[in-house]
Amino acid sequence: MNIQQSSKLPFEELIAESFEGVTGDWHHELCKRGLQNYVDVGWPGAKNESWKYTNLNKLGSHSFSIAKDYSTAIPEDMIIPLDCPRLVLVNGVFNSELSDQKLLPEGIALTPLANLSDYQKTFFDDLRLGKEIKYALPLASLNTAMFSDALVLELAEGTELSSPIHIISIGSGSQITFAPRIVVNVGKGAKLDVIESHVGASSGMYFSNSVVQFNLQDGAKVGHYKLQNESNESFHISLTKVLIKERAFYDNFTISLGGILSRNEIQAHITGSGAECCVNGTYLGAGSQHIDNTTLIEHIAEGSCSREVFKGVLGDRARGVFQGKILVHPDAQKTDGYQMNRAMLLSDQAEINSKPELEIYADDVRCSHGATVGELEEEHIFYLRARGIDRERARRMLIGAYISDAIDEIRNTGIRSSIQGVAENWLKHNLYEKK
Amino acid sequence: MSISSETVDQVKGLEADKYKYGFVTDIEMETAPKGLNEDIIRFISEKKEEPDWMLEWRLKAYRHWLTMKEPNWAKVGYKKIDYQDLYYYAAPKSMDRPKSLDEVDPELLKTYEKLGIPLKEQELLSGVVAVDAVFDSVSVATTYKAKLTEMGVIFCSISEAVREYPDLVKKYLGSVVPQSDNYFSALNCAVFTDGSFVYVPKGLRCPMELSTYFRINAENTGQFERTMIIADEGSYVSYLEGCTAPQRDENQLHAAVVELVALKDAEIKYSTVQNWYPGDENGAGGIYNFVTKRGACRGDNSKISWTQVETGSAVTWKYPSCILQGDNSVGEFYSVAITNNAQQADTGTKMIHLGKNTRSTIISKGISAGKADNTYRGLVKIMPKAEGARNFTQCDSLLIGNSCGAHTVPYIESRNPTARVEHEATTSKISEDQMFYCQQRGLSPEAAVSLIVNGFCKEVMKELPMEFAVEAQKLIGISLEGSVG
Repeated sequence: MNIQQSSKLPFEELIAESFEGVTGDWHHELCKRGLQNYVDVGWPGAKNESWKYTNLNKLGSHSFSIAKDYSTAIPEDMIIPLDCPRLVLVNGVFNSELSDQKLLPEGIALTPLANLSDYQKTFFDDLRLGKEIKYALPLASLNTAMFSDALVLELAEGTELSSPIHIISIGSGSQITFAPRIVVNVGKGAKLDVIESHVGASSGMYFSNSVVQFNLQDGAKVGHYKLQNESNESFHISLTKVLIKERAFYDNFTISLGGILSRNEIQAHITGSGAECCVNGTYLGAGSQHIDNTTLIEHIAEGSCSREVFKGVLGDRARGVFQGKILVHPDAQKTDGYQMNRAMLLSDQAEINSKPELEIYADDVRCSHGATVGELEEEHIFYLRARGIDRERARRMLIGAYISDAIDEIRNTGIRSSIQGVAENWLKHNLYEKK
Repeated sequence: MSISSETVDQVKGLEADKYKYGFVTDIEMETAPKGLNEDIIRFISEKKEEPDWMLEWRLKAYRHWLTMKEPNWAKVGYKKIDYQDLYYYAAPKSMDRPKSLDEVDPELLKTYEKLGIPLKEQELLSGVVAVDAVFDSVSVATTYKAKLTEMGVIFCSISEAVREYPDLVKKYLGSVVPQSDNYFSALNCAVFTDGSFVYVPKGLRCPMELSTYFRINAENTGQFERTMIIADEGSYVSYLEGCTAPQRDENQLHAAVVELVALKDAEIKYSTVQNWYPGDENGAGGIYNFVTKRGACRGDNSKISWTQVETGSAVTWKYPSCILQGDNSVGEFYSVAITNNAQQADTGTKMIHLGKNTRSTIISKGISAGKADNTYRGLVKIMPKAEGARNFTQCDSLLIGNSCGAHTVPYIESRNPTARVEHEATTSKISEDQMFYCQQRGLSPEAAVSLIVNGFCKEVMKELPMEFAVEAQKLIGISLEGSVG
């Protein structure tokens, strides 16, 4: 509340500073629109329903500066280990030395921000920043006002890539803020897998405010898998906006491990019939981490289906938030929607706030959602211990099995096992019982 | 589908029967001047011959209300209410607190007879139900009082309780729903006119169902009743509540507060059949039903169970809740909410788990037809000390027609690892197969829908006391008329 009363919004001065670095009229105009939107909507407080459970006061009152250094090394042990072409952003700016743009297969084009065609520029407008508080995206507006570079990828019609593309966003430095912006347009009938790794190069504290847009043209097939493994004290807020057209298929998975406060927001808009959308994830929290997963799946056209499975494990004083909404428009008859959030609390100071929501305006639909909260079953541990497995290992096995329900949703088997490995590694380092 | 002439006749017959409680009783009324200010509150308090502390309590609530804003988070839209354009007190003129039923205005007795609530004791189901009848701002009659008093049960109007049992009222009034709780409850605290008061003494199982029948009659009047039920240690009481209002083109406001207190080992069962006038097909008229209902399970092993069948009102804003303070206490919420035409309902519950091994069950069935919107909004909150707490929630929605909406907004907050919370929700429609099956066996489309919907609601209906269940079933059929074909 204090923040809103002061005359300037958080980051407003930094926006002015970042404006000076912006070249090109179009980019400048876009930033100005983002700023206007940000000012209109304001910093999200507790009264903002969409931010009810995630308090940004600490982030808003911290003083950051704009990242100036754009070179570093890739922290190999923190990213998803996969052998495929990499595109690297350091503090939100594309780093060609660390990237394998030369290894990009045929059919995929990477265009620098300065050379965007008029058509490519329209992708940025697809964000549809609303002014109405209910739909407003204050942090995405802030990203639009502040992004200094963007990664724009286009896959030509009918191209099917066998190898995934790995986008790595590295935060390097301390007390800095940056706004990664990624746009991926997948042509008709094209097929692509994208991996996003968000990591920190050092233990420095920073704020990464990212916006990722995916456009799936008719019949496109996209796998989009994300690892959020920012450095311990950092803030990570991201919006993934997906437009899904006719018969397109979108498979999303997010694993959140890092940061002191993170929010992974996904908005998928299904505008074509026969489309399928999967939004899955797992969140693993320890210490005093706060992990927020907020999703919106909007069925606008007839005959589409969506599936959502989230599983969380929270230890120590960690807090988890899950807000999932399925919105079915009047014309979206024959929609099939499913959503499930399960959370496991491992300590008596951990907390989960869950809000699975259905908003339905069409009658011929099948929608269901579920949510459960619980702890590890003592009986299950006993079963394993009776078979000679020690307590700690039994717990790890059970929790591992618990979250693999969500990880199993990943369609790409290679990526699935890599992510499984990341999760197991986390369990090994964070699961010890405090009694 | 083709409809036989018989069906058409049936529907026409039902049309007339649609809101059979829509008549107006022509009776001389005494009202306070329109508008709301401290003088009106003093007027109400004086009419009720209240002690000073009660007036002060009301004024405090009013002053707080002035600082509050009308809530807008619910998924309902309605015309702005002009709080100065309402009558806050309306009472039948002949009412001079009748000593017995013989003194009650025959016109009033006739009204209740027409509503199907005979107040003459001999006509009541031999001693099964005791009724408190509230007409606009005042309680007109309470039956079986003598018999109940003999056993130590206090069942009277709340105005009477303020005069006769001030200590009890003082102790519990506002202890569950404080004056500053929310906009509508604060308004109610300031201007509440009547309602029922129940006290069940230690260890007594109340031998009959207690019931209040609320009737709004006067024009431009808001009804602000307040109900309090206190179940002392080891007691049990079942309470029923029914409500109707005449058919009018303007909207009328109903902002009630219900407070329940269950002490150690006590149980309260609270059932509501809410059938306020819902407005016409186009959404003109109808009652704004903005109600705060809350129960506190104060003692260990206590239990509070809410059952509601919501078919009426143009706009419903209602969340009967349980605060589970005592260890092993139990909260239940069973709800059927039906909206048709332009009705809007935003209803649900809150279960706040504070004590150890507290349990709660939520079963909510929402049915939406016509152009209606039906929202379930609920909160399950497990506090850190609620070791072993358990919640199960199921909310199902049924959509009939393609211009209605059904929404589910559950909030689940857990801060104890030993707690188990489960939530399930589904949304579906009546399938063509089900309809075909019923029609093939000779049921009309309307009868088929009614049958299927009743089956959909059965889990909740079986929680209603028998006398109510039959009426509620019929009501469901009537509420959904015209939604198929």
